[in-house]
Amino acid sequence: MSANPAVSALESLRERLNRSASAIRPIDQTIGRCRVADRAFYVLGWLLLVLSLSVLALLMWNLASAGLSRINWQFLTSFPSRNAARAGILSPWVGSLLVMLVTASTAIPLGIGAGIFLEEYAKKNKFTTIIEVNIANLAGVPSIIYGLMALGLLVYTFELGQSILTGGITLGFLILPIVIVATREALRAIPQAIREAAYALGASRWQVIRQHLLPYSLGGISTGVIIALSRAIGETAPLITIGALTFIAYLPPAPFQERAWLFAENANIVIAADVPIESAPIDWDLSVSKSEDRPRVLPGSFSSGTILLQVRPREERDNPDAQRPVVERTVAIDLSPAGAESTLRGFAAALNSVEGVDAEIDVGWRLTLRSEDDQEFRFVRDPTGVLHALGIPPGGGRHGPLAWLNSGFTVLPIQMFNWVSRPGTDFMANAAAAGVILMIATLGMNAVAIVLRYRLRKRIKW
Amino acid sequence: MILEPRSTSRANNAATLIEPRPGAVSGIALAPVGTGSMAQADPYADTRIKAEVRELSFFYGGSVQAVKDVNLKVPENAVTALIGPSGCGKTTLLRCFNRMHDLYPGNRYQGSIILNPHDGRGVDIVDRATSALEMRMRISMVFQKPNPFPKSIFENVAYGLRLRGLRNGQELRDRVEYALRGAAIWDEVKDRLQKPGYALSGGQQQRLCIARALAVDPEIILFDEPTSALDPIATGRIEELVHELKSRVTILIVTHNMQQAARVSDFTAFMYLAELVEVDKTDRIFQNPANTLTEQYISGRFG
Ligand SMILES: Nc1ncnc2c1ncn2[C@@H]1O[C@H](COP(=O)(O)OP(=O)(O)O)[C@@H](O)[C@H]1O
Ligand SMILES: [Mg+2]
Repeated sequence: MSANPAVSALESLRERLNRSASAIRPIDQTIGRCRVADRAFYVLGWLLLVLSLSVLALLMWNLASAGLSRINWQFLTSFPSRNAARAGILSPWVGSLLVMLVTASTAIPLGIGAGIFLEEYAKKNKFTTIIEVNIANLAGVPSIIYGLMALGLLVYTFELGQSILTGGITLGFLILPIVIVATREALRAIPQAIREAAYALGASRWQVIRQHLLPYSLGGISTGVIIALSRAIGETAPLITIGALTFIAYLPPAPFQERAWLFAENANIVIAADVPIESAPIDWDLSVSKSEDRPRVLPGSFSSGTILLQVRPREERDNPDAQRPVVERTVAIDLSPAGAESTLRGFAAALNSVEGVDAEIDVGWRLTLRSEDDQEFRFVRDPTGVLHALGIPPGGGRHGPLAWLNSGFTVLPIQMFNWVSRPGTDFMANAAAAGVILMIATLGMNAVAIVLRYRLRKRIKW
Repeated sequence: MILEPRSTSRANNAATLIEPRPGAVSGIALAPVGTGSMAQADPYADTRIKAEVRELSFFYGGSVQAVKDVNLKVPENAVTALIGPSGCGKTTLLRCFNRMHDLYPGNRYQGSIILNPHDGRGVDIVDRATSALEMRMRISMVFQKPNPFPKSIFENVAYGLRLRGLRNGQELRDRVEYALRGAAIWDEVKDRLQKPGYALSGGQQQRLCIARALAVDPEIILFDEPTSALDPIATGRIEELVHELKSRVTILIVTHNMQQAARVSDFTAFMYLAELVEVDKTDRIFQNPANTLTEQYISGRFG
C-alpha cells in the first residue's frame, strides 16, 4: 500500500507548502484583532442597549408621573363619566379583556391549525409557496385595512353587529399571520430525526403531531401567540373602523345574568331593560328626571307616574358652554305590563317633538337618569328591550352564556384616545393612568412569554 | 409479543423444510465478474428467510434512482450487513424496509420486499396497499445519530408501547425494563428513569434508542450506521449488543466500517452505485469474494 497515489500526493503537497513562506497571520495577531473587534462590539452593544432602555424608561416615567396618582380602586371600578375625577376605566378594561378572549380563541386554533397544516401536511408546490409568501405579507398589512374588511364582511354581510364578537374576530384576523408564522418556525426547529424516531415506531402523522411536535414546540408557539396578543391589545384603528364605542357606561351581560330591570336605587325609578345596545343615530342625549310624583319601583313590581324628559344636544355634554338649549318634556309612565305600550308611545311622541330627534321605536337610544342630588345614571337601551322590560317578561329570564358577545364595547386605547382629545387638561391624567394600565398589561404579557419560553426550552434539548 | 428469545433451532428446521430451492432468486445482480466458480454452496442453506427483496428499485423525488434492481435475502435471527462506499444507496435501501421514504413527497418504490416469504402470510412491505404504520411497528429502526425524544428515559422506551395502547402499569414497567436490559443499559439508568433522555452520553443515548426500538418486540431491527457518531468504546458496546440481539430479532445493519461488518454480521451485502453487487456469508465475502469490485472495496482500494 505504500504506492498509494492519494498518500504520495498529500506528501508532495505538504512539502511544497513548507518550502514557501506563508501569508497566514500568526495566531497571536489574529487573536489580538479579534479582541479589539470584540471589545468594540461589546461597548457598542451596551451603548445601544442603554439608549433604547432609557427611551423606554423615559416613556414609562412620563406616563407614570402624569397618571399614577389616578390609579386606584375607584379608577378601576368606575365607568367613564363627564366628571374627570369620577371617571374610571371599568368598561374599557372589561372590553379589552373580552375582546382579547375572542381574539385568542379565534386566532390560536386557526393559526396553529394552519401552521401545522402548512408545515406538516401540505405538499410543497407552487400553490402552497404562494400561500406561504402571502401569509408573510399579510403580517405587514396596515391594521385599518383589517378594520375595513371586518366592517364589510362581519358587520354588513354577516350582521354580527358592532359587537365584542366582531371586534375580537377582527383582531384575530389581524394577528393570525403572526401566529401561523410562529407555529411554523417552532415546528421547523424540531429536528427531522425526532419525527422519524416516532414514525419508525409506527406512530401515525396525527400521533406524531399530537404527542411530539405540539408539546415540543409549545414554547415557541405560545411565545408567538402572546406577543401577537400584546400587539392586538393596543390596536385602535380597526376597532374604530368597525364601530367600537368611545364612551360606554355599562358592562356586557355576564353569562346567565338575570334579565332584570335596571334599578337605579337613588333615582327611585326603574328604567328598564334588557340587552343594552348602543347605536346612537341621534346626536342628542336624553336625560330623564323625576318630576313631582316619584314612583318607586322594585324589580318585579310595577308603578306609574310622570317623569321629566330632558333632551340635550350631544355637544353640550362635552362642552358645558354650549348654547343649544335643553328641551324638556314631561312624560307619563306606566310601568305596569298593561301600560308598557302607552309609555313607550309617550316616550316616542315626546322625543319626536324635539327637532332633530327621530325616535323610532326600533332605534336604540341613550338615556340618562338624573336624580335630585344631580347624580347621573346612564343607561343605554334598546326600545325593544324596554318593551320586554315593561311589558312581557323576556323569555327565560336570563341571558345566554354568550350574550356578552353581542354587546357593544370599548377598549383601553380607544378610551385613552377619547380622553386625550377632550378639551382641557382634566382628562389628561386619566388618559395617562389608562396608558400605565395598558403598558402594565402589555409588559406583563411579554414577561409571561419570556418566562414560558425559558422554562419550556429548558426542558427540551436536541 | 413473546419475551423469550425466538428459538433458532426451530426456525432453522422450519427453514430447511420450507425452502426447498436454494438460491432461487440469485443470478440477476449477483452475476460474478471475476471468477467463474459459481458452484458454491447456497449461503442460506440452513437459514429461514425473514425478508426477501425482489427487483427493488427506489426513486427520490420521482427521478433520482438511488436503488436499482436489488435482490437480497435477509435471514432470520442473523445479522446482515450492508456495506459499500458513501452514497451507494445503503441508507436508501434500509429505509425502504420500514417505508420511511413515504414521509417525503414524490418518492417511489418499484419491485417488492416480502416479509416472511415462506410462512404463507408474506406481505409486500413496499406495496402501497400495505400499511406503512404496521410495517414500522413490526420493523424498528435505529438511526445514525442518537435521536431520543426530549422526554424521560422511561417515556422514551415506553413510547412505542404506548402507541400500541399499553397503559401505565406493571406490564409497561416490566417491558421497559426488559428492553433496557436487552439494550444493556439498564444498570446505568435504573436509578434515573425519570431523568431526560438527552442527559445521557452519546453511546448511552444510542443504546436508549435501541431499547426504544426493542421494546415493541419487532421482527426486524434496522440499524443505519448506529456507531458512526460514537467513540470506540461506545461502538464496541453497541457491536456486542447487536451480536447478542440476533438471538431475539433479525438485524439489518448499514455500516461503512468493514471491520464492523466483519465483527458483527453473519451475512454481508456489498452495494455499489445503487446496485447490489454481491451478497454472501460474511467470512466468505471478506476472505474470498466472488466479484472483483467487492474484492477491491474490501481491500481498501476505493471507497
Ligand atoms: N432525500 C434525497 N433526495 C434525493 N436524493 C437523495 C436523497 N437522499 C439520498 N439521495 C441520493 O441517493 C444516493 C444514495 O444515498 P444514501 O442511501 O444516503 O447512500 P449511503 O447511505 O449508502 O451513503 C446518493 O446519491 C444520494 O445523493
Ligand atoms: Mg447512509
